Amino acid sequence: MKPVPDSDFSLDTSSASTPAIDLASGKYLKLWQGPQHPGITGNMSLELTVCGDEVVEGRTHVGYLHRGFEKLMERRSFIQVFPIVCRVCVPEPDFNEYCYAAAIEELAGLEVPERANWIRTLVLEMGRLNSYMMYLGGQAGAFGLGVIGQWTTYVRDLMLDRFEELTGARIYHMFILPGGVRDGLPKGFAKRMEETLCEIERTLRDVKEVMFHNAVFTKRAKGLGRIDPELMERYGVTGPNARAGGVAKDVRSDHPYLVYPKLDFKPVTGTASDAYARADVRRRDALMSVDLIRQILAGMPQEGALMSKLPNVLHWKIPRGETYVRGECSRGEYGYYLVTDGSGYPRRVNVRGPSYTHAVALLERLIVNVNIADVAGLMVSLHTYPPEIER
Amino acid sequence: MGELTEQRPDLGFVTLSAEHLRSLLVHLRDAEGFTHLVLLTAVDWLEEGQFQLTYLLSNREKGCDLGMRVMIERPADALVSMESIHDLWPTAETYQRELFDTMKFAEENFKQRPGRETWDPAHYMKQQLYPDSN
Repeated sequence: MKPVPDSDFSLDTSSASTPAIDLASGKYLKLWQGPQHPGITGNMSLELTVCGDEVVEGRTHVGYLHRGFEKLMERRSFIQVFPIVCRVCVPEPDFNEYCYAAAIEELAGLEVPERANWIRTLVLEMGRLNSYMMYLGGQAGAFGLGVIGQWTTYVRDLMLDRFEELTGARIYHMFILPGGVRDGLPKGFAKRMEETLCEIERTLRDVKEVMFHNAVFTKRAKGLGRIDPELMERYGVTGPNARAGGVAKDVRSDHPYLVYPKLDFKPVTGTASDAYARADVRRRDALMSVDLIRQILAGMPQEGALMSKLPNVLHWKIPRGETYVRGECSRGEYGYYLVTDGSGYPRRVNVRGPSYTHAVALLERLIVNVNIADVAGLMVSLHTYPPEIER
Repeated sequence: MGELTEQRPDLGFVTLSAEHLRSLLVHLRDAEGFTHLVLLTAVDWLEEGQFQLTYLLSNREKGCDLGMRVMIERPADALVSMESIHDLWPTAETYQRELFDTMKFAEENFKQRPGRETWDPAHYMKQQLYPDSN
């Protein structure tokens, strides 16, 4: 795989530094991957120009999933926004609830009870595990290892059972509200969660043996989509994508929130910064989440308030202000920029999902010189979810 | 440049004029360690006839963020524009493209990517295969 010189990247495609691609020459072929394609995560499209079986240029196209969430939020009261925010990201919706709730609490001056913060942390780590299970199945499937997806989907389903008994819903929970959480843990929850965690650990051990020692996966994923260190900041790379390149940055430890300062953990890092290293970092990060959930269940107070007192949410006005609240989701930095104007509606809500940078500008950069057959593996390796690009 | 508003110990906002933005961004990135462009977005203050552009930068070493607000006039019948920063952070191109689509706000020096004129496949293929028939 040839590295792309930095000077070759230009947004101005008419500049002399960009190699001319003459489609009429017969050397090149325009190939559309998506929006309906098994090699695309979610609904987006890649416009590939290929020479033989090698991509010489790739452009990302989004817009197939745009639902106008941010605009919808501007016409909803603060509490009415909650059924919307969780739908911004399907596999890991709880971060939207947390970031939006935390932004409101900051601007409205609400204190969150300690016990609610523990439960919020628990919910976020459960969501992270779910997201990683979905990722591992997708990553393996992109390289032809279909059985991994069956295993990880099974254990993800077990975690969805825990979500269901805790929140009443499997996918969109609407459990984290401004001021706290809706409910405490049901009776016997910790025991059932431990059984689920053991099953996840067992599956991750199998995944390590079958996927990470597999010759095909190793051969194809190693060296694929390597992110050079100097690209990390320029392209806003965060989360496991950055940590796989040795950047030990994790919002959970760098900007501590909820009860993470009380938990014992260190960011999981790699060195190679390629698809294999990213997968390995996520596998180990999932194991760390298992450990964090055990720490949370052991340290969580059993008694105490779950919600602070809220004003009448139907007539709730929040003073003019603005803030940015972030958290570390399974894909990197997830943040909400909230602007209020003193009325009963948000003036502006901007969702900053990690896929926004990873799946558009970064993917266009990394996709050059990649074999067509590896495009899907590359895209999945960045762990992108188009829904959070189109909000 | 306006006064720094401290929202949290690790988050501040400052209002500045459009002509000072670029030099401040470069200084913050190259000298102060604010190397991470967290987001670039706009707030529509329709009643006040203004767009607020927010450039949020993060210093990941020190764990602090700085938001820069640039207020620009918002004429009802014309596009407004602002100097592009896609040469400072390539990811800004995506944010700027979105602002153009959603806020009808354009970036000076920002070149739209050449591509299809229409997204209707039938129309596109007709253009490609039978360009003289239109």
